[in-house]
Amino acid sequence: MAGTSLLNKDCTLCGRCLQACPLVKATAKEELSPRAKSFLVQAMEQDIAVLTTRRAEDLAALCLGCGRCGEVCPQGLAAPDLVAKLRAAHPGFEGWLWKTWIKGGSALWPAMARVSGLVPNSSTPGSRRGMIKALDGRTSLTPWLRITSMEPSEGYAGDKQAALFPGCFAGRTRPGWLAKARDILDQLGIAAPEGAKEPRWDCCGSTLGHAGLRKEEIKAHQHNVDIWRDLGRPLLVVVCASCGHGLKETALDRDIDWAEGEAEMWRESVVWLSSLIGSIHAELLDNAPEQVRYHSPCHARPQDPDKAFLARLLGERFSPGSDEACCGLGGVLQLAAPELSRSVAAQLWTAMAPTPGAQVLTGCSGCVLQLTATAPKNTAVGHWLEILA
Amino acid sequence: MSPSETSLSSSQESFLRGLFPGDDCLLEPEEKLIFGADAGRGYAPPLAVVRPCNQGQIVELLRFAHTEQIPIYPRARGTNVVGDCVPETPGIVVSTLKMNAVKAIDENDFVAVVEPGVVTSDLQAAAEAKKLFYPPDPASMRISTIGGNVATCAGGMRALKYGVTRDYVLGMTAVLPGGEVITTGGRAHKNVVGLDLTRLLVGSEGTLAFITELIIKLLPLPEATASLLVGYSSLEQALDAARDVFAAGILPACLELIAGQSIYCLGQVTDVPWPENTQAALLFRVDGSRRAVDADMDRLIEVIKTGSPSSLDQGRTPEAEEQLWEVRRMINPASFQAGPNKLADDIAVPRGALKEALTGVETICADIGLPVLNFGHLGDGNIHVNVMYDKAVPGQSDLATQAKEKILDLTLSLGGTVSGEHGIGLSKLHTVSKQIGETERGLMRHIKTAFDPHNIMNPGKAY
Repeated sequence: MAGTSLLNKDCTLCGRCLQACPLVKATAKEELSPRAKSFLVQAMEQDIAVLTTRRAEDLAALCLGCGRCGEVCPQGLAAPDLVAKLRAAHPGFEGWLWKTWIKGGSALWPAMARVSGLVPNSSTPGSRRGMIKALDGRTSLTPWLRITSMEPSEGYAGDKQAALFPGCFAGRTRPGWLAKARDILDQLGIAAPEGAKEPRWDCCGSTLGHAGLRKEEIKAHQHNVDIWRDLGRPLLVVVCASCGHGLKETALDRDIDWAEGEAEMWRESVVWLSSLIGSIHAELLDNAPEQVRYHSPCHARPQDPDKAFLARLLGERFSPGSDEACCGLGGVLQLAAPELSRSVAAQLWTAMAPTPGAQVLTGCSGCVLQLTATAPKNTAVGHWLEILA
Repeated sequence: MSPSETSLSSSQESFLRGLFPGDDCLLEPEEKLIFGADAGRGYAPPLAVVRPCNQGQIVELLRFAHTEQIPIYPRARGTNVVGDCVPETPGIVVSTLKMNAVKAIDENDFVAVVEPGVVTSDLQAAAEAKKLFYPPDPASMRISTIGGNVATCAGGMRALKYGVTRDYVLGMTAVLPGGEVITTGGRAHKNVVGLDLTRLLVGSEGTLAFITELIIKLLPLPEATASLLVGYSSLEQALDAARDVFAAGILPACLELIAGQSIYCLGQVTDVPWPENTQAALLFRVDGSRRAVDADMDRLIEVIKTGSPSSLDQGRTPEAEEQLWEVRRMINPASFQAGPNKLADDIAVPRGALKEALTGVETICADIGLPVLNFGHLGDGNIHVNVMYDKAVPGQSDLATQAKEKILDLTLSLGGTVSGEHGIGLSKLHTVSKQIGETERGLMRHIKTAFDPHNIMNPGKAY
């Protein structure tokens, strides 16, 4: 590889990322670490070793995209950024398929059972069957909590309008989440912008970017920014941590025609639905589970607003357990190396140890998908919006 | 095979594949790549990488490697900074990441039994869950392993009060080249029978035997700790303050120095609590019962305030302390703000010679024209000296090497040692003869031969 380096800075091989990476934790394979990825790229670019480019890039691309390495890297390197650039340089079949999956929407998903047979390394139908089942819009928790009153949080400026960002997953397979989210905004007295009834939002962009589909990522970013401008730059309310992360990352996209200060305004306008809710009162219904575990999405780190909200809302019934593990969904990795994705999920379930009959709540579409597909028997998984009657 | 063979035969590869099934034997160059490097940033390609899950596999591997005379390189997280993990003579890298069990934490015997791949902070957490305490705390403790810490006799910040890794290894199980298993020491906290093989293996940098299990001494967990980070507008003020603290009869658990360029680099990568004109900082930790800690902190602050510090931040809760210590842990990574490459040394000098050592190092680097970061364990005379440079700039690598040599000569002239805790590895090998005499080195070679007659264990390193 000639020309500019794919790494913004040299990796110093310090090893801090090994402890942060869920893949290394689940597999004990150092060759999957962010450090190994950076060193593979350095080795190719600087002729440190004789390597086969394609094999090196395939190995370096095995990344969950969780971004935890970026939190600890003193050089500011993050494996997902590197992997996105690698994939952008050599878009392959998995990237294409993921794009088709994400962009194709509801029409395509029922066909995944057939399409998945075409994906490389698809000899592990178990997890994929679970995944396809998880995509079924009918899968959801039976509500067990009724909100009796709530007020907007102190941080919310009373006159600010708010547009609900649906996201690909909820928009296409979980319309119930969005109906409940709109209901909450209504109850809080937070108005939608004029003409906001059904703006045609695009994907938040993060999954596209991580899959190496940079052109599509820019297009999605620009499209969403244009809608936001048309709506008068309202708050962008998310019910999915990955969407929240992707939308915030949009502010870093230098290919968008930002006016001065506008990117920062965009970033600040992205808010989690739960963070708009201040005081809240609710009553439990008879079918409330004894134990409510919680999974904190990687893309909600470091301070997960949904977790803080649920702890407030559910009191003693909320026992998150070990909620820090990554679910292992991993975007394209799910298609290229499902066994790695499954190892990470298995580790999560061991750490979380839900009791039979427990419900596991989370606040991210991707996590709901992965957790539903991998959950132990007698463990129900859902978005926290699903428990609301 | 001859020591310089650059590939394994197909029968050797097939043996390794049989012993380490599936993904636990890596032979492709792309997969093996990272295992040829460590945090010292040197690289040499491994012939193979294997990942044992149990001692039985290591016994078989060392029997094979001894017979075939193939070098063996134990490796865990590869955080070593002197090239200890680099397979410079081609050989097999053995990753211990799958041998990461805490087998026992015994509150009656005050011991832990662990495998080498346990991350040191995980051992500490497991001990703390039973109100027990493993004191050694190298800055890398969250990312390095107990196996690596034992192999290099890692020090750390609490060494001032509690000593270093060797003071906490009561015994071990290890595999010799040829496959024989030895056990040394045991759970007894005192043991004077025979030559102390445990202490010999601690700090041997993987050159004698392959450690598979460790018996670690634990202490009762102190009820409380508190920390104090103090900024100074000059190095002299900081050193005087440290002297005053000892003179007042206070023995902190830790006393760390952050000086000069280290202060600047930290400011580039993290929020620092001191004002802009700060030139040096001291970081103290005291521990004991809650009441004793409060009293010790009050006394410490009283003494410190007589020395006109430029900032004073205290942490009396774990969260507040953590913020102060994270600053210290960030120094090593932050150092690259001063240059993309570094020559790192962890010299230790008699405590009375600290001022002379620190100012001498500053002078050497100022004369040569390269930035230098001084920081480390002031309380026990162990200073990390990082000479920063850019190897892409013609001549800078040579200048850095010159600075390093002068610093090591200065250290030895002050009665010090060229390594207090990192080890010798590859990058300091040439300095050993300056510090240790020919007769003593001859004895070390005899010992090495007694353990490892074919010189397959991490060859060409350490002494």
